[in-house]
Amino acid sequence: MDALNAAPRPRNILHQRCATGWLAAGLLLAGCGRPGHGEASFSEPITYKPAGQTFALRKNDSERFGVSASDFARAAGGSDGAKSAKGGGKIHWETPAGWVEVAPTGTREANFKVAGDPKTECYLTRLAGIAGGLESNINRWRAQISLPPLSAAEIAQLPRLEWLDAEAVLVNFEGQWKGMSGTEAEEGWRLVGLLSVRPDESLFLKMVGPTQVVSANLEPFVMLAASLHDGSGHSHDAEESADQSADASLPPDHPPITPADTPVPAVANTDSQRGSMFQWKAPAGWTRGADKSMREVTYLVDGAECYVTLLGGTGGGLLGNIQRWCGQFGAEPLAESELGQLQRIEMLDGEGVIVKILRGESAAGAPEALLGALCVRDDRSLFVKFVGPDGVLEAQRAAFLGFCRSLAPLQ
Amino acid sequence: MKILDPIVDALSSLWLSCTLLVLLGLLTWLGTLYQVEHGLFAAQVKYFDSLFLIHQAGSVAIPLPGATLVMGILFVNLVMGGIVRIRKAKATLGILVTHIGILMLIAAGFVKAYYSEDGHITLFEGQRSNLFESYHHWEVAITEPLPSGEVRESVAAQEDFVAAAPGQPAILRTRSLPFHVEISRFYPNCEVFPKGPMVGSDVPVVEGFFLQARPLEKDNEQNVAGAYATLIGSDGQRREAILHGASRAPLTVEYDGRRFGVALRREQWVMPFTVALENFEKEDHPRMMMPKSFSSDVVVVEDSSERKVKISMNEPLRQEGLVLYQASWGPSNARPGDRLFSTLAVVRNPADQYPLYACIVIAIGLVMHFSLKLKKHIRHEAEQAA
Repeated sequence: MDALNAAPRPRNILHQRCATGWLAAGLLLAGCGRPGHGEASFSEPITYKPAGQTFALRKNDSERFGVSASDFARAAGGSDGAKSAKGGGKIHWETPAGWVEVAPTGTREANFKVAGDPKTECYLTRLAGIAGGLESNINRWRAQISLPPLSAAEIAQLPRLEWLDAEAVLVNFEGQWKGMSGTEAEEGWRLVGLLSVRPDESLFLKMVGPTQVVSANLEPFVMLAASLHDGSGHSHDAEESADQSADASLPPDHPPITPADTPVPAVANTDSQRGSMFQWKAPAGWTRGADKSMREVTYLVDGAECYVTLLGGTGGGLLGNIQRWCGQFGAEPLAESELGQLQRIEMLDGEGVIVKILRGESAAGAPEALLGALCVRDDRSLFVKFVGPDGVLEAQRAAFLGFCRSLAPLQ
Repeated sequence: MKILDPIVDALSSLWLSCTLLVLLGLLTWLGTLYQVEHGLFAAQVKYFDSLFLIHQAGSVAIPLPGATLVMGILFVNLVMGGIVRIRKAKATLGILVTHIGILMLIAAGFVKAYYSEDGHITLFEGQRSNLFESYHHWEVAITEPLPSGEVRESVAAQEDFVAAAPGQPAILRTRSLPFHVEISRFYPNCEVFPKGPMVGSDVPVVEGFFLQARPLEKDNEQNVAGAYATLIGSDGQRREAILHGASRAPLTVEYDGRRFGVALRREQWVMPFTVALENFEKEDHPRMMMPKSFSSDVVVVEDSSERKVKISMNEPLRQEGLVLYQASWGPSNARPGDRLFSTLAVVRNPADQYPLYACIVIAIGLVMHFSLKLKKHIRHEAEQAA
């Protein structure tokens, strides 16, 4: 550069700067691109033969987008890919009647407005790792509702239950709602939640709002929690597509959205699960729960849950399974000599054994009672488990027995 | 012409050269910092593809010229000061040649920026393609399959509809089609969702689906664009549609007995030959999942001739003005025995070899200049000794 301007000329630095400015402005104007809206033209058409590709025309929107109705898990915060990367798959649920599912947010994987109350909301959050741990999350929630923190010993006393194949802690707090930022002041609020803190990822289901609204929606909350599942072993497309077809928002000329691989058994008066080897008759008033792995079907009624499990062979035997259930409910194990005293019903062209187990003191987190039916055979065994409040179980006993009797292999 | 003298003085000044070089250094530094948080593509667009930009230093907004403007002025400055007005003498010959080399380098950058096409082909073993697609840019393509097995295609570039929003739609027309396309909303990153009966949506729901905007991903390749489009026939009939970059198939429409596919897709180019992936090989470091090397055995089919080529990390395929590099492979979480795909970066750069030529010219210029300097120094030393 030392040879630049070797022939010196009189300089005027102000002139130089002005000139540079004008030049820059000129370049700016010259460089203005297209506005990105308004009128534009397609390119002149080109013709070519694509190699290794076929143009799949005549696809409906569901096929084009590869998604079907009512699956909002992919709208989870962050990106679904990130969740998959850390091991979390899609989570499915059934929205309780009267609740409105709203769009997920960055942190809320499932997001609901509860029973039309603008203040009450319920949402599921899924975070990587232990997400701060159980204690800090419980105490963070307590702080939001103006309660002092709990000690580790107090937290250990909180009720526990099985949720999404892991242990979860149930919390139930009442106080003055201060909100996430601590700036709100709503008296008479209630917070109920489930916290499942795991090494790989943690799940939090939280309902918060005015006490009277939350109290009135405890059962839907429980049903929502029970309906949450990861979809393993299930394909929801058929049901979701059916939902979509029934959706009144679809225009009349909308093509039917029915995936080809959904062989729903055509059995009259049954409510069989796709892929199940059985058919049955659902009792009146029972609500079909979300499909879960290892279960043929799940029903929910008045806060109780009934589900059917099919195992190969004797599945551990009659006594072994009853004693295992006794262990789960903290009850005294049944003696072999007592087996003969249990009620028998006709089931699967054979005999089913009915057992009732009440929760013992050592199983605080378990449901109050279990009413079970066991049909143990050498080739396969069917177990029907009805768990929930004892009063509900007794009120539904006849329906339960009828359900058990209706179970039959698919024709 | 005295009125032009201040401009010529300014454009050829060493002061301007130094300012521009400092600015280039500053932009490179700021762009590198910006890249950490916003990704390579965003940094490139903001700091290097721009004429002007606002750099946010905390709460202070600093206006800066973009690298494109700086390089443009530097080119003019170098021509004016380093070629036209430089003293022409034996002593400055090397400098002159060096300046020519630098100008070639800037010109190569200009050609690369405005006249090159770069994208990729991703193939599993056994697959073939004669198309490569952009990593970053989107286009609306209208494809009409022809009975011959060929397709006739018209496209509109992303620049034509990127700012489409309610109240300011982008209207894309062509006389060769019996309809035109109106883009009413464009999202650079979004997902398509079915609208269930209990889900609220603040955007239009079309045929039971809606688009939900997403924050931009740091890696621009991961963003998937979507748009709300209205197809308007020559009879004025309107058809609403959602176009999404991750669709498995184009939207099918029929006008005047002709069937068309309408798609929002990554910008695509046709190659004059077909590449078929025969075999992909990945060699890992011992006892590690980290690849040591990977290569693709491809068959290049052009007209009726075929030839086998191995494309490896440092051995690209050059054919018909295109360069195919071994870029990556996947899936990244593949286990031994899983089916892998190979991604070949494809570049069509008319100035592909310019940097090499420019560097040779610069080297020659510097050798000439420093040879003269050395000779002068030796002579001076000898004179002093005498």
